[in-house]
Amino acid sequence: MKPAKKILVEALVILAVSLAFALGVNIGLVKKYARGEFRTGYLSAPEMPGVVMIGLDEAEDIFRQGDAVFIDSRDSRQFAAGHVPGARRLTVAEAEAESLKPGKIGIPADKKIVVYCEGGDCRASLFLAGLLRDEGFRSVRVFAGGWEEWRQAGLPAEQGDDQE
Amino acid sequence: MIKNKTLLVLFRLAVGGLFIYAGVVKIGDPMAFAQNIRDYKILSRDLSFWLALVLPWIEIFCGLLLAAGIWLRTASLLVSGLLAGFIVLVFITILRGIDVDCGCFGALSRKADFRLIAEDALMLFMALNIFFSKKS
Repeated sequence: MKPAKKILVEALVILAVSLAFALGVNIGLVKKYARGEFRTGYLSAPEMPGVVMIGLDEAEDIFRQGDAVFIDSRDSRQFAAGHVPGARRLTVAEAEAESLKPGKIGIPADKKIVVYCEGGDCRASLFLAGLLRDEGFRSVRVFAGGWEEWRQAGLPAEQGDDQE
Repeated sequence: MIKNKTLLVLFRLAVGGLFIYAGVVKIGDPMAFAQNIRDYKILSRDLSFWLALVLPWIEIFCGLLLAAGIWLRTASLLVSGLLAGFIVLVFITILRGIDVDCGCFGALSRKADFRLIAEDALMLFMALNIFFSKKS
């Protein structure tokens, strides 16, 4: 066999065996994928009990209803450049450093909360949602598309620092 | 190119061992790895999912072949290709100003930065030496 052909054949064998193992070991995940999971994020529901993942439409509905608090988990520079109108700014680092008890940050425990970060599946909003849930907030949602999707959709935006 | 046989064996074991390790720590939590890939903001969500499933196994098998000294030209070429890809990826990511965990070693990963590029380049150097040390 010619050297180049030999390499090609061996490489294909390695790739085929890798694919076979990947499918065999992760058959459960592949089935979930085939059912349409992981399209909006890689966490399946049982991993984040009490945290609801929402898309752009629902985030917009909640925003228009005006009864929810949006929490922006990006840093102050990103926040100042543009954020969902009325959003509070709170990074994961800040949340870990100070108590998030409902009374302390001025948000009632049963208030509807929507957490978002930059988008593109950034994880800050997920971590923050988990922290909020652990502190007793009962209605926490994560807007997975984040600021990127919100901005691209041309939805209302606001500039400047956090007022509160 | 390096001709010293002992050194070449050391290269094989070092690169092979690291690839086995990198693969093994990732197969335990493919979804976390998928998220890692997605965080680089290059691949789509679907591609990230499939790559997260398959890439760790490619790393493991290439690592095993390198360490065992089987199919060395193919394994070292694949590994070189992967490393070159990682280097380009991390470089682009730094240029784009994206702050991301490299995802190289599962939960033990650190930031994708210039030090990571240097380490990948060192491994690429070793892998290429293995490739060219074998007569075709």
